[in-house]
Amino acid sequence: MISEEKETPGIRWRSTLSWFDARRRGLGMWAFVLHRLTGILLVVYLFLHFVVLSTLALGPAAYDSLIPIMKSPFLFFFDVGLFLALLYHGLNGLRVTLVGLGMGVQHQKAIFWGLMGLVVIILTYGTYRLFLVF
Amino acid sequence: MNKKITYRIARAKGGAISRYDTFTIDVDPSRTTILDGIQKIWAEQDRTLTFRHACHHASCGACAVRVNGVEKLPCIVDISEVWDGTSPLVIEPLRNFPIVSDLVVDPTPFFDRMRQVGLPIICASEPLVSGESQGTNRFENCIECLVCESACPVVASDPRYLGPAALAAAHRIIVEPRGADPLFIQQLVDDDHGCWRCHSAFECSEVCPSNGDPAGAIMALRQRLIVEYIKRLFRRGR
Repeated sequence: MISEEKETPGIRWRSTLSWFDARRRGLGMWAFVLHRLTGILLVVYLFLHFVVLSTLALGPAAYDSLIPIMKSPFLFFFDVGLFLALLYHGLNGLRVTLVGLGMGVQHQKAIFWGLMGLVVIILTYGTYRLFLVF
Repeated sequence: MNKKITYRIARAKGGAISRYDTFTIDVDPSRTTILDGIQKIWAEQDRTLTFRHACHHASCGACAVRVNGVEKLPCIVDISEVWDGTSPLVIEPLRNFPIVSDLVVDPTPFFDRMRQVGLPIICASEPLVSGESQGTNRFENCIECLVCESACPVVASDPRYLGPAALAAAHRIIVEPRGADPLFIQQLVDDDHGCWRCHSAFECSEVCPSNGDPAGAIMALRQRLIVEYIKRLFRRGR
């Protein structure tokens, strides 16, 4: 027998972190975790968006100075990622709403994959359109 | 064919996991259940290992633990079903319950929640009252193993949440009251910590060893409550 000591984290942290631990879990748990993470990402983006918009209060020159940054390749990938998060959160939210209303509960996995197919189609088209303006 | 299987078992003597002990046993993984392995370790290597077991055929729900992070009834799962051939099997107590010792948890919070909905375990032999059954998922299949409560991410963070088992039982009472007061139960589950607290992760139904569908029952409860709201709205409008 081999023993190894393990430090036990606080109950509160353990409980909160367990929300994000989907290892070896089912599809519903993965969908739930991704929904949380994209939700947090969208809230962070909203604040970032307000910060950028607030430069308008400093005059057109201040806002225009940000345009080169907006057109950088990094921002292109950021925008695509943001679009993906938005699509996932919105369409999975639709699934959660339908299921929460008792509709299609037994088919929730099929609904998920169907909506993810829609995410891929819309994301591909959106990325192409975004690429044209960059 | 026998193989050397390593178990990494959580040890908890002070209410929390303090260490993991590693044991190796020589068994046939396709003919040995995870519980058989734990018992072999207890019998041959460490008599201080604490675990709970009784029926050995998924009838009592006493032995539920987490195997590699996922809730299982170790009495009905062969080692070969979860073992990748090399890594140790990590055995831990269920989440979301106070740990009594090693793999044994205190189920009191679960029974407190079940008591709120009237401990509605209905005998299979009790005759159905004509017209009451509506094609329900039979929750006497629930063996009170606590597996769904351990897997649920909401139980982990909201101690006041009724939990999947109690909500599924509540749904059963509402559709098939058998003398109970369904209105009281309906009011009980129509709460921030009742059926509206579920976040639709469906993990309770995923891990249920009795093929119950607690998540489906929770969604059915919500649908029922929404229909009631709409009906009330129209009644008010008249």
